[in-house]
Amino acid sequence: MSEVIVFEASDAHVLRRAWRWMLVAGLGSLLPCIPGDDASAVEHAVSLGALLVAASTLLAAWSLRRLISDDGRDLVHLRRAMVHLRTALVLKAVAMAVVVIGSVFAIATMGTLVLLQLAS
Amino acid sequence: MDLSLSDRERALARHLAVASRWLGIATLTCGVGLLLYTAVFLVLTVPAVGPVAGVMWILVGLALVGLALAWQGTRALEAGRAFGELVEMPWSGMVAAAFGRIGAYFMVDACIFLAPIVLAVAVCGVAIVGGLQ
Repeated sequence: MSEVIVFEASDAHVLRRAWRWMLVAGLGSLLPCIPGDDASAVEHAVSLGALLVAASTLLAAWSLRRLISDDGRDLVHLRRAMVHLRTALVLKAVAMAVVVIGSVFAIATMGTLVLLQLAS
Repeated sequence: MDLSLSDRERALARHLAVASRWLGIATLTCGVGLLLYTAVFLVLTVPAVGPVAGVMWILVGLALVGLALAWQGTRALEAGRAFGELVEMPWSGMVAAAFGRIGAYFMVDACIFLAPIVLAVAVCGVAIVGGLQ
Protein backbone atom coordinates (compact mmCIF):
# COMPACT_ATOMS: atom_id res chain seq x y z
CA MET A 1 0.00 0.00 0.00
CA SER A 2 1.67 3.20 -1.10
CA GLU A 3 1.60 6.47 0.80
CA VAL A 4 -1.00 9.05 -0.28
CA ILE A 5 0.15 12.63 -0.90
CA VAL A 6 -2.20 15.29 0.48
CA PHE A 7 -1.68 18.68 -1.15
CA GLU A 8 -2.78 21.92 0.55
CA ALA A 9 -5.48 23.79 -1.38
CA SER A 10 -2.99 26.49 -2.43
CA ASP A 11 -0.44 23.87 -3.58
CA ALA A 12 -3.09 22.03 -5.60
CA HIS A 13 -4.08 25.36 -7.16
CA VAL A 14 -0.45 26.04 -8.16
CA LEU A 15 -0.13 22.58 -9.71
CA ARG A 16 -3.44 22.84 -11.59
CA ARG A 17 -2.48 26.26 -12.94
CA ALA A 18 0.96 24.95 -13.96
CA TRP A 19 -0.58 21.96 -15.76
CA ARG A 20 -3.01 24.15 -17.75
CA TRP A 21 -0.31 26.63 -18.77
CA MET A 22 2.06 23.83 -19.71
CA LEU A 23 -0.64 22.38 -21.96
CA VAL A 24 -1.05 25.81 -23.61
CA ALA A 25 2.75 26.08 -23.88
CA GLY A 26 3.06 22.63 -25.47
CA LEU A 27 0.29 23.25 -27.99
CA GLY A 28 1.63 26.75 -28.68
CA SER A 29 5.10 25.35 -29.33
CA LEU A 30 3.60 23.12 -32.05
CA LEU A 31 2.72 26.18 -34.15
CA PRO A 32 6.27 27.05 -35.32
CA CYS A 33 6.96 23.36 -36.07
CA ILE A 34 5.74 23.62 -39.66
CA PRO A 35 8.52 25.02 -41.88
CA GLY A 36 7.61 26.95 -45.03
CA ASP A 37 7.99 25.56 -48.56
CA ASP A 38 11.31 27.32 -49.17
CA ALA A 39 12.63 26.98 -45.62
CA SER A 40 16.39 27.23 -45.08
CA ALA A 41 18.48 24.79 -43.03
CA VAL A 42 18.31 27.17 -40.07
CA GLU A 43 14.50 27.31 -40.26
CA HIS A 44 14.38 23.51 -40.39
CA ALA A 45 16.60 23.40 -37.28
CA VAL A 46 14.31 25.85 -35.45
CA SER A 47 11.24 23.78 -36.50
CA LEU A 48 12.87 20.61 -35.18
CA GLY A 49 13.77 22.40 -31.95
CA ALA A 50 10.20 23.67 -31.58
CA LEU A 51 8.89 20.13 -32.11
CA LEU A 52 11.20 18.84 -29.37
CA VAL A 53 10.18 21.72 -27.07
CA ALA A 54 6.51 20.90 -27.70
CA ALA A 55 7.08 17.20 -27.01
CA SER A 56 9.00 17.87 -23.79
CA THR A 57 6.43 20.39 -22.54
CA LEU A 58 3.47 18.11 -23.27
CA LEU A 59 5.26 15.21 -21.55
CA ALA A 60 5.98 17.36 -18.49
CA ALA A 61 2.35 18.57 -18.51
CA TRP A 62 1.14 14.97 -18.67
CA SER A 63 3.34 14.03 -15.70
CA LEU A 64 1.80 16.86 -13.69
CA ARG A 65 -1.72 15.91 -14.79
CA ARG A 66 -1.19 12.36 -13.57
CA LEU A 67 0.14 13.63 -10.25
CA ILE A 68 -2.83 15.90 -9.46
CA SER A 69 -5.60 13.62 -10.70
CA ASP A 70 -7.88 12.22 -8.00
CA ASP A 71 -6.52 8.70 -8.33
CA GLY A 72 -2.92 9.81 -8.74
CA ARG A 73 -1.91 11.32 -5.42
CA ASP A 74 0.44 8.65 -4.19
CA LEU A 75 4.14 7.94 -4.33
CA VAL A 76 3.79 5.55 -7.28
CA HIS A 77 2.37 8.39 -9.35
CA LEU A 78 4.96 10.80 -7.97
CA ARG A 79 7.68 8.39 -9.14
CA ARG A 80 6.11 8.10 -12.61
CA ALA A 81 5.70 11.89 -12.75
CA MET A 82 9.38 12.34 -11.90
CA VAL A 83 10.44 9.79 -14.55
CA HIS A 84 8.33 11.60 -17.18
CA LEU A 85 9.68 14.95 -16.05
CA ARG A 86 13.25 13.68 -16.30
CA THR A 87 12.61 12.55 -19.89
CA ALA A 88 10.97 15.92 -20.60
CA LEU A 89 14.02 17.78 -19.27
CA VAL A 90 16.37 15.66 -21.39
CA LEU A 91 14.23 16.38 -24.49
CA LYS A 92 14.19 20.04 -23.55
CA ALA A 93 17.98 20.10 -23.29
CA VAL A 94 18.30 18.56 -26.78
CA ALA A 95 15.71 21.03 -28.11
CA MET A 96 17.61 23.93 -26.56
CA ALA A 97 20.84 22.78 -28.18
CA VAL A 98 19.16 22.58 -31.61
CA VAL A 99 17.34 25.93 -31.23
CA VAL A 100 20.39 27.70 -29.79
CA ILE A 101 22.69 26.50 -32.60
CA GLY A 102 20.08 27.48 -35.23
CA SER A 103 19.35 30.84 -33.59
CA VAL A 104 23.02 31.75 -33.08
CA PHE A 105 23.63 31.00 -36.76
CA ALA A 106 20.57 33.05 -37.82
CA ILE A 107 21.36 35.97 -35.50
CA ALA A 108 25.02 36.05 -36.51
CA THR A 109 24.04 35.99 -40.21
CA MET A 110 21.45 38.72 -39.71
CA GLY A 111 23.85 40.84 -37.66
CA THR A 112 26.63 40.53 -40.25
CA LEU A 113 24.26 41.38 -43.11
CA VAL A 114 22.85 44.43 -41.30
CA LEU A 115 26.34 45.66 -40.36
CA LEU A 116 27.54 45.22 -43.97
CA GLN A 117 24.46 47.03 -45.28
CA LEU A 118 24.89 49.89 -42.83
CA ALA A 119 28.62 50.17 -43.61
CA SER A 120 28.08 50.43 -47.39
CA MET B 1 2.40 16.56 5.04
CA ASP B 2 5.71 14.67 5.47
CA LEU B 3 6.49 11.92 2.95
CA SER B 4 8.77 8.92 3.25
CA LEU B 5 10.49 8.60 -0.10
CA SER B 6 12.24 5.41 -1.13
CA ASP B 7 15.83 5.39 -2.36
CA ARG B 8 14.57 5.19 -5.95
CA GLU B 9 12.40 8.30 -5.49
CA ARG B 10 15.20 10.18 -3.78
CA ALA B 11 17.54 9.28 -6.63
CA LEU B 12 14.98 10.52 -9.16
CA ALA B 13 14.54 13.79 -7.25
CA ARG B 14 18.34 14.16 -7.16
CA HIS B 15 18.53 13.63 -10.95
CA LEU B 16 15.78 16.21 -11.46
CA ALA B 17 17.60 18.68 -9.21
CA VAL B 18 20.81 18.32 -11.24
CA ALA B 19 18.98 18.45 -14.61
CA SER B 20 16.97 21.53 -13.58
CA ARG B 21 20.07 23.33 -12.34
CA TRP B 22 22.03 22.66 -15.53
CA LEU B 23 19.08 23.62 -17.72
CA GLY B 24 18.66 26.77 -15.61
CA ILE B 25 22.32 27.72 -16.02
CA ALA B 26 22.14 27.09 -19.80
CA THR B 27 18.93 29.10 -20.20
CA LEU B 28 20.18 31.96 -18.03
CA THR B 29 23.40 32.06 -20.07
CA CYS B 30 21.39 32.19 -23.33
CA GLY B 31 19.26 35.04 -21.96
CA VAL B 32 22.19 37.09 -20.71
CA GLY B 33 24.09 36.36 -23.96
CA LEU B 34 21.18 37.61 -26.04
CA LEU B 35 20.93 40.78 -23.92
CA LEU B 36 24.68 41.37 -24.29
CA TYR B 37 24.47 40.77 -28.06
CA THR B 38 21.65 43.35 -28.28
CA ALA B 39 23.61 45.87 -26.21
CA VAL B 40 26.82 45.41 -28.26
CA PHE B 41 24.86 45.69 -31.52
CA LEU B 42 23.24 48.93 -30.29
CA VAL B 43 26.60 50.38 -29.24
CA LEU B 44 28.16 49.49 -32.61
CA THR B 45 25.38 50.69 -34.93
CA VAL B 46 23.46 53.56 -33.35
CA PRO B 47 26.38 56.03 -32.96
CA ALA B 48 27.47 55.30 -36.55
CA VAL B 49 24.21 55.51 -38.50
CA GLY B 50 21.53 56.51 -35.99
CA PRO B 51 18.47 54.47 -35.04
CA VAL B 52 16.92 52.52 -37.96
CA ALA B 53 13.26 51.71 -37.20
CA GLY B 54 13.20 48.11 -38.55
CA VAL B 55 16.46 47.12 -36.85
CA MET B 56 15.35 48.75 -33.60
CA TRP B 57 12.15 46.66 -33.50
CA ILE B 58 14.14 43.47 -34.08
CA LEU B 59 16.53 44.46 -31.28
CA VAL B 60 13.61 45.19 -28.93
CA GLY B 61 12.25 41.71 -29.73
CA LEU B 62 15.62 40.08 -29.09
CA ALA B 63 16.01 41.97 -25.80
CA LEU B 64 12.55 40.82 -24.67
CA VAL B 65 13.36 37.20 -25.57
CA GLY B 66 16.66 37.58 -23.67
CA LEU B 67 14.82 38.85 -20.59
CA ALA B 68 12.27 36.02 -20.85
CA LEU B 69 15.06 33.42 -21.13
CA ALA B 70 16.89 34.91 -18.14
CA TRP B 71 13.72 34.73 -16.03
CA GLN B 72 13.07 31.20 -17.31
CA GLY B 73 16.58 30.23 -16.21
CA THR B 74 15.96 31.51 -12.68
CA ARG B 75 12.75 29.42 -12.50
CA ALA B 76 14.68 26.28 -13.46
CA LEU B 77 17.34 27.08 -10.85
CA GLU B 78 14.59 27.53 -8.24
CA ALA B 79 13.06 24.20 -9.32
CA GLY B 80 16.48 22.58 -8.98
CA ARG B 81 16.76 23.94 -5.44
CA ALA B 82 13.24 22.69 -4.61
CA PHE B 83 14.02 19.19 -5.92
CA GLY B 84 17.23 19.27 -3.89
CA GLU B 85 15.25 20.16 -0.75
CA LEU B 86 12.80 17.38 -1.59
CA VAL B 87 15.67 14.91 -1.29
CA GLU B 88 16.68 16.31 2.11
CA MET B 89 13.24 16.93 3.62
CA PRO B 90 10.38 15.32 1.65
CA TRP B 91 6.93 16.85 2.15
CA SER B 92 3.94 17.45 -0.10
CA GLY B 93 4.39 21.25 -0.20
CA MET B 94 7.89 20.82 -1.61
CA VAL B 95 6.56 18.47 -4.32
CA ALA B 96 4.09 21.18 -5.33
CA ALA B 97 6.77 23.88 -5.19
CA ALA B 98 9.20 21.87 -7.33
CA PHE B 99 6.64 20.88 -9.98
CA GLY B 100 5.08 24.36 -9.94
CA ARG B 101 8.43 26.02 -10.60
CA ILE B 102 9.35 23.65 -13.39
CA GLY B 103 5.86 24.35 -14.77
CA ALA B 104 6.68 28.06 -14.79
CA TYR B 105 9.88 27.23 -16.67
CA PHE B 106 7.92 25.48 -19.44
CA MET B 107 5.26 28.23 -19.46
CA VAL B 108 7.79 30.82 -20.66
CA ASP B 109 8.17 28.82 -23.89
CA ALA B 110 4.52 29.54 -24.65
CA CYS B 111 5.16 33.27 -24.25
CA ILE B 112 8.25 33.17 -26.48
CA PHE B 113 6.60 31.09 -29.22
CA LEU B 114 3.13 32.61 -29.08
CA ALA B 115 4.01 36.31 -28.59
CA PRO B 116 5.19 36.90 -32.20
CA ILE B 117 2.11 35.09 -33.55
CA VAL B 118 -0.26 37.11 -31.32
CA LEU B 119 1.60 40.30 -32.28
CA ALA B 120 1.36 39.48 -36.02
CA VAL B 121 -2.38 38.75 -35.74
CA ALA B 122 -2.89 42.01 -33.81
CA VAL B 123 -0.94 44.03 -36.41
CA CYS B 124 -2.92 42.37 -39.25
CA GLY B 125 -6.16 43.09 -37.39
CA VAL B 126 -5.27 46.74 -36.90
CA ALA B 127 -4.23 47.02 -40.58
CA ILE B 128 -7.50 45.44 -41.77
CA VAL B 129 -9.60 47.69 -39.53
CA GLY B 130 -7.58 50.70 -40.70
CA GLY B 131 -8.09 49.67 -44.33
CA LEU B 132 -11.86 49.28 -43.85
CA GLN B 133 -12.13 52.74 -42.30
